[in-house]
Amino acid sequence: MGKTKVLVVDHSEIIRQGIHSILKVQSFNYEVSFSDNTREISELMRSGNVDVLLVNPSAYFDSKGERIKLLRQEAINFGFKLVALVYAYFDEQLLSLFDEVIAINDEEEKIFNKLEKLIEAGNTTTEEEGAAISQRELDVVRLVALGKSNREIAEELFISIHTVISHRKNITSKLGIKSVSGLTIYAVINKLISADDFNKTM
Amino acid sequence: MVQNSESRSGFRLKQQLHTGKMDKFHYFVKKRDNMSHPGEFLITGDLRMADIIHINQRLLLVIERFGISLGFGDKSIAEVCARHQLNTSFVLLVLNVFNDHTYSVNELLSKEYIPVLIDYLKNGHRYFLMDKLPYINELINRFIERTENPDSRLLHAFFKEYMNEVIEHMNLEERTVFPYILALFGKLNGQEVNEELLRYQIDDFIDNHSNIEEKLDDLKQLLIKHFPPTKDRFYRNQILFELFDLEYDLNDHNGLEERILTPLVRTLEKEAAENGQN
Repeated sequence: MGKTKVLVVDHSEIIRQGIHSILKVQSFNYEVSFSDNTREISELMRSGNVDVLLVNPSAYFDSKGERIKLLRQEAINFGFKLVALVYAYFDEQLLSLFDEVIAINDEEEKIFNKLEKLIEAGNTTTEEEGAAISQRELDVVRLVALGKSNREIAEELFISIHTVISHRKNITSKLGIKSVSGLTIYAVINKLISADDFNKTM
Repeated sequence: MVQNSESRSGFRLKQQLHTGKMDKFHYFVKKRDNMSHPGEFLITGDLRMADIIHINQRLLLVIERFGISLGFGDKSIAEVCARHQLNTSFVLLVLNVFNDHTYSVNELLSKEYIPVLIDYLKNGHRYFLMDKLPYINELINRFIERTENPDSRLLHAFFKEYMNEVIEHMNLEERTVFPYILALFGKLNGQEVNEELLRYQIDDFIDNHSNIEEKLDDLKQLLIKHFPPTKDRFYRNQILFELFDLEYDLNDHNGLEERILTPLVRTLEKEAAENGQN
């Protein structure tokens, strides 16, 4: 196995050099580079030159963490690990999007161990956002939109409740719509149900 | 205490603000899409109120909720606060939390802030319920008028449903949560309070925020991804701008409740429990 390529995204020179020297001291297996140029970062990611992206999440912060979610998606698409480098309080929910969190006051060994563990761990697969929705899932959307419960949907489609729940999870992640009324609108727009049906359920 | 923790870059920018050199200022203007400036700029009482709005226009909302009207000339934040009989440290705390979401509040919290904070949050509610949501509702009406797609009416029904959820959530806070907190605060200050109000705990109300975000996000998704192309593009975009803005603002509002109000109330509850034991 070749060297692990770590890209550090942080504007502080002290932090960059600090990470660099910690990883150098601990192992020869790391190649550390830095960037705070967004375009350069995304080119490096796409070219497969990043194994671990170590970022200060506040540099990617916005109202709903959309940019962090985007990074998460890129980490899945391009197969790298996403690690947060946090200085101060940061939204827990957003931190959960990272594979690992390194705090500014972590000891040298701890930082190193976290990275090692991460590299050893296999890639996890997640249902891709924006993937095409299947006919079966559309059937479920239609029934949800008609106000049916999971049990009723299971009976109607001759599948288990467990399968219905898993379809619903995939629907939500594919369409980005969580609420029943939102799915109902989707169903009307896509002619899965009629507007009259909609008025009955709302 | 705010001045002590002032960061170097905050100091530099402040100097530029005072000396009229605004290089960094333009940098911030460019960065506005991200509207939170983590660790880069600390707001202090001697800055001019007008200048901080140029740096982060979202602070307009904060000022409004403190009941401060625009037109304060070159007055500093401290001067404006004094004129409105507001506690400057508290106003600075809220301004900084809005300006920098990573701003650390822990050592700055004081339970004396509770009544003012609740007033502030109520003003926020008033803004959402009386101004912001009706305005978006109106934009949706315009969108329906201009677009020739009967399905667009569904969005209106959906938004109504969303509005009702927000109203319900905020009403719960106004009718139950805030009175509870104020009663607890009063009791600890030796006031006679209605014991009936004290039968809650702040933890009963936590975890109530994520559900009002769900439909908001769905509406954005529907307008961006799923609703077919419409004849009207202007209002569709305007609705989206407003939804993003509302979402950001609600997040900040909930952040104040979760990061400032809740820890303060926990302190009160602990104190009340200790008093009870003695």
